Amino acid sequence: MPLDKELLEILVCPKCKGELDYMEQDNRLVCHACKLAYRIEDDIPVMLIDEAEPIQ
Amino acid sequence: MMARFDFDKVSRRYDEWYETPLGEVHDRIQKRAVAEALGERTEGRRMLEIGCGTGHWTQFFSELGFEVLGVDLSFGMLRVAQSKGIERTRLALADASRLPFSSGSFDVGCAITTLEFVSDAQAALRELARCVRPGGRIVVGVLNRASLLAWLRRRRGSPTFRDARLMTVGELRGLLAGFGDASVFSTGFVLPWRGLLWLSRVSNAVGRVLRLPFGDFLVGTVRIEQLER
Repeated sequence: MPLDKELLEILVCPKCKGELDYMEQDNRLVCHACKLAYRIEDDIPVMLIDEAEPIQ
Repeated sequence: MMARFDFDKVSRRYDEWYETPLGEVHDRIQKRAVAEALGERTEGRRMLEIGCGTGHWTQFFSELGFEVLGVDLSFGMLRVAQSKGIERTRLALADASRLPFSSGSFDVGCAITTLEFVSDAQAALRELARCVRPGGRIVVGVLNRASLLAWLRRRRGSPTFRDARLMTVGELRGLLAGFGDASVFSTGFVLPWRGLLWLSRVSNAVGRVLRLPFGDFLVGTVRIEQLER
């Protein structure tokens, strides 16, 4: 299920408070500034810096 | 910031306390006090609830008419909350000291029995205040350190009451004062013995009227004035 639209509108990166890019096919939220990807598990976004995955 | 307990482990048993005779009395009193602090305008208002746990309070806020976004650090707790299918509610896993929401996104910020368990209550409140719009408010509920129940539980070695950072009226007021005009009151004047629970309506009314500072539960409110701090 795609992430709730209203939730998506207010979600930001917990680290830089910048915008997130919702990658629906990977089911994760990407912060391009911090180069971090936050996963979404069972429709619950996991917004922890320590658990975010570094990206290229 | 880490929570000071492994809430994943207790997530399934967590709601059980509210079903005990003592828990039911406290639940009723606490909910009335928190509703009072929230005021009458609830319909369609956006609330951020940090430390939502299994959604016990989330459900109450939703029933009052709020659109709630519940946040917790425990995935186990959030799964229990999710399974309740609470209306108008969204959930996210986040650290209270680093909230993933843009500033001013909510009308109300709530933390019920949460500040006692975070490693930095001041930081959590600062983040909560950031997420609330100017003119919005923060409502917190905290277990009173200076209460009979807290004293009895500490003596009995209850881990919650031994390790959690309970507060007094003065301590909570001090914590909230940095964010604006704060008001704090104590409630939950309950004699924690089964045979005396029937007295709770009277004892609580007396405690509230006399503004005694040693009820089991503290409710604090503060109006948010500026966006950036």
